[in-house]
Amino acid sequence: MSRRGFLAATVAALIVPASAVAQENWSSKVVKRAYAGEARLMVEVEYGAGQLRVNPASAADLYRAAFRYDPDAIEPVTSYADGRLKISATSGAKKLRGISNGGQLDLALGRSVPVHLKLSYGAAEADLELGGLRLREARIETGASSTNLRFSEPNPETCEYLEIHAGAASFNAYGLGNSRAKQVRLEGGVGHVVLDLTGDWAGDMRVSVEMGLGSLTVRVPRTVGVRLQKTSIFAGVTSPGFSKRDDAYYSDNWGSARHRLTLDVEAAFGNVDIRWVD
Amino acid sequence: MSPTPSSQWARIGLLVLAVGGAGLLGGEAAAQEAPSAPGVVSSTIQVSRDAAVLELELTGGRSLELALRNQRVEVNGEEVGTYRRGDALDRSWRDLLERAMDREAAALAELLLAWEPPEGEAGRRLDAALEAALREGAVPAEVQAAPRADRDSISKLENRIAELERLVRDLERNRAQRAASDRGIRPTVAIVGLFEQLWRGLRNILAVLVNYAVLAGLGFAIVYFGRRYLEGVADTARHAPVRSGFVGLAALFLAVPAFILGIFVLIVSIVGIPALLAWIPLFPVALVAVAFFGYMAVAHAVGEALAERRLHGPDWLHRGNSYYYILTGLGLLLAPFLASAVVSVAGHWMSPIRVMLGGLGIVLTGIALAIGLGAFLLSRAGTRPLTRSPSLEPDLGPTFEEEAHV
Repeated sequence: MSRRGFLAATVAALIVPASAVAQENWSSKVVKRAYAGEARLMVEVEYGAGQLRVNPASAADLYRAAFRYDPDAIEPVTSYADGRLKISATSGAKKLRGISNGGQLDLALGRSVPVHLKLSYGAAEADLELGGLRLREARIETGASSTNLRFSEPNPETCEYLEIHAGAASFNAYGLGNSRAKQVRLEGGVGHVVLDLTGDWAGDMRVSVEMGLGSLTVRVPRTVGVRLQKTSIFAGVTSPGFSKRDDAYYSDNWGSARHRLTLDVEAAFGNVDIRWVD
Repeated sequence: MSPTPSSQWARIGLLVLAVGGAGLLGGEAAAQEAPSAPGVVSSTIQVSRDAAVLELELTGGRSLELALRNQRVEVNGEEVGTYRRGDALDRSWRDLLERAMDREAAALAELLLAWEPPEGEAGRRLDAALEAALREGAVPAEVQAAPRADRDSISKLENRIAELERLVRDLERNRAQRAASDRGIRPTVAIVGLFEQLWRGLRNILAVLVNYAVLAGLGFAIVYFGRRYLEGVADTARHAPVRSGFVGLAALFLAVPAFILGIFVLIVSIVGIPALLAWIPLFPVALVAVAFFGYMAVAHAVGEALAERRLHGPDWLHRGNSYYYILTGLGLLLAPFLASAVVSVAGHWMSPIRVMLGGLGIVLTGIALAIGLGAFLLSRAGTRPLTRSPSLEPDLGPTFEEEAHV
């Protein structure tokens, strides 16, 4: 047997059993509830691995959760009572490979009700569109994941806080100005983080970032006045257009800007890049 | 065996409790207000290979479950007919549920009411249940199904009774076994234990043999693809084992600091940060691969050394072939593990010897790994093997010049 043939046979021997195991039996489950004048909706989601999507639902719906899952691996559980929605679709280590290959949760939340959101997910690919939701507060915890968070439309409510705990992750947040969050807190472990603060600002915002290892890019609208306080151990912080006064850096428009951003950055290892956006 | 009086009383008690509970729940159900305005509050749709289920929560706290599940057509858990996977009813019902998944909760009733079932009694029953629940706001009397909450409670109660009955049976069985053993009919535990022990021992032997086969296979692949490098490392391991061992140990100790230092350097350089994505997973993988290669080289060296000895043994022992070296070398390195597995067949009384042999195997493996790693580094992956230098040739003693008197 030639060397190439030997190699091909070895690779085939390794691949064939794996593909044979990968035959999942997919099921679908859709749970939805009509909006009936609820005062608020508190949402808790625990999702193990797979694809996670969150979007606004129509005004007539309170929520809609659509699962695609392997019933041999997980059983999605939803419960709702008194404005409190709990969704869980986790499996531990069991058949994690199968879940991550095709499992999916599409969650749509009503636009008519104030939402308190708590999302926890592990090895997931998350696409979160929270624009247009009446978001009062949100907490997002991720594991080894890739997340795109967007606020494409302004939040009709004031969001008290937006808290993000990103593990070993790629986390991109766009249009955070639309979130109308008073306070944004990001704790990043290892990975690449983008915080895009563009959008329709309605008030001042305080953003605090704690980065472990990785790169952080903060995109700030040029119309917003910025006060930057940075603490870094072995991280390089690039922040053009700032002047230092006392223990902080200020943008030139700090005194005249209609909206102000207070940005606290603590970074251990890596690169922090603050960019102006027109 | 007939049940004892006490267990019979327990069963009667449970049945009374069940009937009483069901009556109580039924009473509660009857006391519920009659529905007035039908509408869907929430819905759950579940579609899998074996089931297509629609659960509706209706106004007035009522609920309805319609299911095609395992060839049964069910309304609120009651069988109202049968279906076959892929028949007209199954296809039509699944199609309806697929469309219902995308419909707003408030507009769901309209879609469900518009459903036209295929010919057949089961489909007609499903449709009737939907019509009754969504138009008149009541579940049809013909299916006689209890409201969902009550049905759940009853089924929970029934499950609990079944569980308790199972416990009673287990207790009775245990008591019978105890009584039998008291009468001297004790099961032959000793024989069973002996077989278990034998089986465990054979399993251990098999595990060692499988490991041997896998390692030999990988070793053959290394010989096939990189004989030159393997022999270079093996020569170094043979001719400078102590030096290789110390270098290997030092490399093992320095691996972690080197790993961290590499991360640090890449981070500080800023431009090297993307390279971290390769450095963090690849460094440990490379270390393991190198150690494994070194281990195989040591097995090769051991096999070669064995073949070169003038032993009185079978002919195959003396063959000068890298594949044979790998086979015999691995065999020697794994021999303590095999011996430990063989001894384990004898049982617990041989445990000290078994543990000792296993420990010897682990120590040998550790030494082989250290020597292999060191030899790999010293010989630069086998490209520059260290061989015995002429100065290290055995000293033959002083030489004398003969005087010549001519």
